[in-house]
Amino acid sequence: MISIEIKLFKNKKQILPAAVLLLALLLLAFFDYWFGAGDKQLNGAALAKFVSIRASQSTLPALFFIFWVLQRTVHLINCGYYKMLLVNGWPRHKLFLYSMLQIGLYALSFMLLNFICYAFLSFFYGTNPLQLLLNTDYNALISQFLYLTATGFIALTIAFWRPSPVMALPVLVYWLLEDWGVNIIHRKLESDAGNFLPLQAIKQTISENLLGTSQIAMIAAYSLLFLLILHFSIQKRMFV
Amino acid sequence: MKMKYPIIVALVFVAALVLNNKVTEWKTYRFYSQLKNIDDPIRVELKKDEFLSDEADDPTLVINLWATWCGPCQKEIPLLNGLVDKYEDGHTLFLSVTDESEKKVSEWVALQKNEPEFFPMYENKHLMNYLFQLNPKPGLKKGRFPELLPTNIIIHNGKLRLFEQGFSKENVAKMDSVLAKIKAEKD
Repeated sequence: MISIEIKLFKNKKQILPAAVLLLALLLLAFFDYWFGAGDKQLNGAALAKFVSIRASQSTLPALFFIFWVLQRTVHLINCGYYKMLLVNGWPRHKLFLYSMLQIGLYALSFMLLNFICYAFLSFFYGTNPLQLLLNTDYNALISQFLYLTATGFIALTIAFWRPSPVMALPVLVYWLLEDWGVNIIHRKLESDAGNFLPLQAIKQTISENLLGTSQIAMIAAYSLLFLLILHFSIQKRMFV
Repeated sequence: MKMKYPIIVALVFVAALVLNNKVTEWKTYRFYSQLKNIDDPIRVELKKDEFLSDEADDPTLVINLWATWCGPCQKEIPLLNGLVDKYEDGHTLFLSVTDESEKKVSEWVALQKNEPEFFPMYENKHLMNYLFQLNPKPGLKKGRFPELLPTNIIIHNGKLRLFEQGFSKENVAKMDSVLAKIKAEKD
């Protein structure tokens, strides 16, 4: 499974979406450096620590991750890649496990691209990639990987349920609406009820707070729900 | 249909999440267990601050954790200002800690009738998280902010003298009585 996924990665058609993703991540990294070095007047190790925390705890990159996974999976479904695997004798549950492997690889590649962006910009802001590495909290990185994986489950579920690139739009609208709704509930009503919404529950994976039992239960429940929907979609889908 | 696969993947995912959370928790507690006094992390943060470094050795710390969006925190401000007027001496530091930016708080303060008189410390979620851990009651240490704000803490000579969450006049009266006791001890 890994070898065919690596072959897929080497395909020239992957360059354009990866380049767009790289630009988006570069922009986010630039804002973090701009804020840290400009507004907060940080430099050297202090700036590296600041951007490392921002890089590992920002929830926004996951939106780009969802778009990336969505477009890749929709492309693979529509170009007949999964159908070809089935024709080659893969059982459908193997397809499910393969999509899990893909999510893991995409999340790692995404984090690598993100680091490349921060490392590249570090030379322009009086710090360096080594300082970035030394000031990274590796628990926060694992949390970020788990967060990306959980959002990847959502992207995969949507892609297998409705394999159309247009699905990125409702995802964006829902992301913004949920953010706005949670903000209203949080600030105006002074309640934490917004934390029960799916994206917000998953976003708690990378907050600075230690997760309580109810938060872990919520994340587990949403992950299982999306995985079950994905599993049934793969089982029932007539791949073209 | 073989439902075991999504369940296994979900279990592996949750196991990784719980394990990572446990490691973070263990790191946090290891950090706390190395402290000689519970106020050490606060004083470390104070020493880093350009304006508050001179106050880092004050024996009494009165700390208010708040946010501009927290309604009860706003109602509490005039009462807290009353405590500052009553108990301010050279050895007591009144400190307000928030995770919001200085710009945001300044814009908010400009619109208020009652300007907070506590010394502000901005964008310090890390310190807020530490201070929430000082809660002697079990079950309230984890989670998000709305149910935790405002929180008032009094520490004297490295000992926790008061930890109260939520706004009520009774809580401010408790702060008043604890500060009166500390003042009597000093005299």
